[in-house]
Amino acid sequence: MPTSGSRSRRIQGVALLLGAALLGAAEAASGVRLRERCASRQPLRTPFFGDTHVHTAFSQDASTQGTRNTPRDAYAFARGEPLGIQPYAEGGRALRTLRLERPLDFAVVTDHAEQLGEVAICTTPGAPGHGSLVCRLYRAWPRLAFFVMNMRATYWEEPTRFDFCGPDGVHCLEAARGPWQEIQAAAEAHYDRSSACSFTTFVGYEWTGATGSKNLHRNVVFSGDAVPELPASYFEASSPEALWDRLERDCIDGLPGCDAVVIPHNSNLSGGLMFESGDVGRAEAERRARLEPLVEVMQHKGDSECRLDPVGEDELCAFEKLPYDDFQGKYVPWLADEPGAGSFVRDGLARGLLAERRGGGNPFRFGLLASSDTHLAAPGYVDERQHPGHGGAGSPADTELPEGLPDDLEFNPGGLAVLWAEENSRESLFAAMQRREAYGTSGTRLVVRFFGGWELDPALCEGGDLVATGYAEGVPMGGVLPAGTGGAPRFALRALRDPGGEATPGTPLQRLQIVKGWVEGDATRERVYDVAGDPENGADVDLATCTPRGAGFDTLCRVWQDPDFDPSAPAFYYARVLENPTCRWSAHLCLRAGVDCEQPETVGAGFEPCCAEEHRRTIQERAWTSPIWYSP
Amino acid sequence: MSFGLRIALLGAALFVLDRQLDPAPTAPAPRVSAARLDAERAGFVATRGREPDAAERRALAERALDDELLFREAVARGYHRTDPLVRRRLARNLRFLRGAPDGAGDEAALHREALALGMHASDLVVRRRLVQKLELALAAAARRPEPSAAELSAHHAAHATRWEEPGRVVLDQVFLSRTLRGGAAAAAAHALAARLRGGEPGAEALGDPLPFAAATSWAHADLARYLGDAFASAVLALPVGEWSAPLVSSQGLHLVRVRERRAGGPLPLARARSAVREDLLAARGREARRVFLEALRRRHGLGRVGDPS
Repeated sequence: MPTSGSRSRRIQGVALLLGAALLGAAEAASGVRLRERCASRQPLRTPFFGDTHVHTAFSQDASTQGTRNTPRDAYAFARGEPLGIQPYAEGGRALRTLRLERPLDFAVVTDHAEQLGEVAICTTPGAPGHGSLVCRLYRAWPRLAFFVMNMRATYWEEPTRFDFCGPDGVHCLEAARGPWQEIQAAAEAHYDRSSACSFTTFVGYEWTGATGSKNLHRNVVFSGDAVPELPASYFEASSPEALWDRLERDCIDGLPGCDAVVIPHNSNLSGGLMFESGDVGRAEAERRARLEPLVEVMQHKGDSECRLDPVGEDELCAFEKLPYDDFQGKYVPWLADEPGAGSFVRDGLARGLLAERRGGGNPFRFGLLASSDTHLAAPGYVDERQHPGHGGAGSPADTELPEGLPDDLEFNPGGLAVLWAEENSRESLFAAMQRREAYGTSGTRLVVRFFGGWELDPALCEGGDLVATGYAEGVPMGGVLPAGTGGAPRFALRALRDPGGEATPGTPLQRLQIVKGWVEGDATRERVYDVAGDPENGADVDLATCTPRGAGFDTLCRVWQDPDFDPSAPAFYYARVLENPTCRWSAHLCLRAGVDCEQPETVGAGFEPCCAEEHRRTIQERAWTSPIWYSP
Repeated sequence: MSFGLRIALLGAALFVLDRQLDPAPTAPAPRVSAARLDAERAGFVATRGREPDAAERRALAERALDDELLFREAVARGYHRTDPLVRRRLARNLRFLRGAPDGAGDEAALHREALALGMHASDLVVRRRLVQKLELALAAAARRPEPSAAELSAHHAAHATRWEEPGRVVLDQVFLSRTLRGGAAAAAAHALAARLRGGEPGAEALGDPLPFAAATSWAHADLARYLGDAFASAVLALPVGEWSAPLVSSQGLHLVRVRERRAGGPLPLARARSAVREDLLAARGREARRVFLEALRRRHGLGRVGDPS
């Protein structure tokens, strides 16, 4: 007669066998790999911090400036492991080491699809094309190759591959399979499928389309491990529309278990093309809004929130602005144009409303997030106090550390993407991306909630359960208000300061703002409302030590009702959260180098930008929530 | 059946199957040419910026030999005859050699002719395609059969530290907001701590609402996300069952009583099964490849690079 213990073991054994069989059957049926249910699940959602824009040595513009770290290295770094970066000494020892004091919750490696194969060929002896002039240039003069290869890949309207790629680019396409497989394997190896749900990865890539250097770049993020055989690059899909077509054909409609979101970025470098026209027809508008639910509002190469208008009312648009509107303007200054309308997210959101008013649907219904665009394979390394230079288009450090500042003055460490999700899993985070329940930060880890509704209790901040009520009686950031019941909508907004890490304390909050855009006749209007905090709190920075001075707020909260509401006018509302001022990355480094602009002898080689007229020594770190839309 | 035995049998089965398809090697034994080794070394220098050391040179040579073996094996399986991309590419190469325009001639005939000329062996794109196809076939084969419960259990036991969960605490918490109370928060916290420790009924309701959604249990990361690392560390170190002294966070002061502490550490299999399975299948794929390559080496009378054999 079996004992209860042996019976129990037998039952466990049967359960294990059954479980294993079910897992296998489920995988065979769906083609999708499974995971355990997360031990920690918050129905009211948690803010997960991550980086959706990360380049590694697989990207041509990273490898040509000395980056040797791979997608696996990038994910390990995001989880808190140390990362050696260029320059390297004899014997391959990295001369700099980075480590995140606070690891990320998720990350997406997004290497450029355009030259995955080209880089593989140029580093594989014997490969057809390895001995080509371009590949020899790549190995001998990587910085020159950076320009030559980028021009070829992303400058022309109908780009063609180098001759060494063979007819129809077949050599390069074939060579891209290896890195593409490794990108997938790295994402799989670092995705925590256990119930601990400690870290999430997504398979992704960057589509690097541009016309005449006007940036239409987009990151593609896949929902799971079912992904196309090869990423569709600008060579195969030479317009955003062609990219969406390919994703529909090769993923969403054509591959079971595959879904994708597309995230445009650096509209500030698009020369006005990113949000050129919203009038695309209702069906196309709906397709775009479905495929592109998010836009990157800020990253290493500048802020894309709003245009800096010297006579405008929103002076806070003067944040990490680039002085040119495309890459041609960076390298050929006399061709540089001032960034204009159509290059900024706020313009895009407004043009979307206008298209909606004209009856064509809104193709620019974007949620907001930010990311780093690191080219060091260092996701989330965005603290102003320790900026190493993120490479790419910035200052390279391939063979030796450049003297002075490690990055071009106009660039910055980049930002973070935050997703409100029930748990840290691919399904939950991807759903948050699709419903736009996201916000971006300029690097801080402040926490912000934003709900809109018609009947929200004005006293929610004084003790009501803001979050539960917000979900029950309204919509969260990224949502669309349901039909109104009369009166103006209310918005509940609460922000908590970044608590900081042990070595990197957070900064108090200064104020909350709500940015509204709406349609008036045939024009769009915008207004910024200060809704909580104190813009005149007197906080500043002691530039002699980079020490912040003055009080701020740990928490700010407000239920705000639109005083200018017009029920006939489509509108969007998003929140902007501002911290007290702190030193910019460049000011930290100038201070550490002992630069005193009054004493020219203290300005060492490479530190001349410290004393440039355009050097902004302080910044106000911030967050931007996804909008909430009103659609009459 | 042990994992190792299963892999050995899988490798043997693949090998036997292969011998039936291609009973005896008639081609010369594979070898790595000096030119190939030079190319491998040059590739290493190009990507790593330095010369490979002795161990790395050996590894490069091993990889080159494996590559040659896999290529031959793919050819033995006939992949070069059936793969559509190889057919297209070889036909195109032959057209190019003859100066014929794209699309000219019958592709199947050109493909057969190119194979007869041995063009598949000299084209790196074709070689890579064939090797990759074989590797994908090996990897796919290694994912079947579905791992048994015993295999999962053994793999989990052997690598338990790969799947860990953090420690968690279940809390009672009374929060005194610095935002709402300003400088009075500290004094209020100390006064309230005494009332809580004295067991005063209703004292737990005298705090302020937390400005975020409370969890049923908290790991360090959950607390640190809103309230900071130092506060999270302090809470995780509290004894069970006692009200703490006021603890400072980025939001104010907290009086905390840990009701339950759940130790972290390796996860039981039931809560890591999917992760264990993926890890096991990946290991099985690597091991199947290794076993398969060893069988190929034995078949060709080859040892490891540098071995006298």
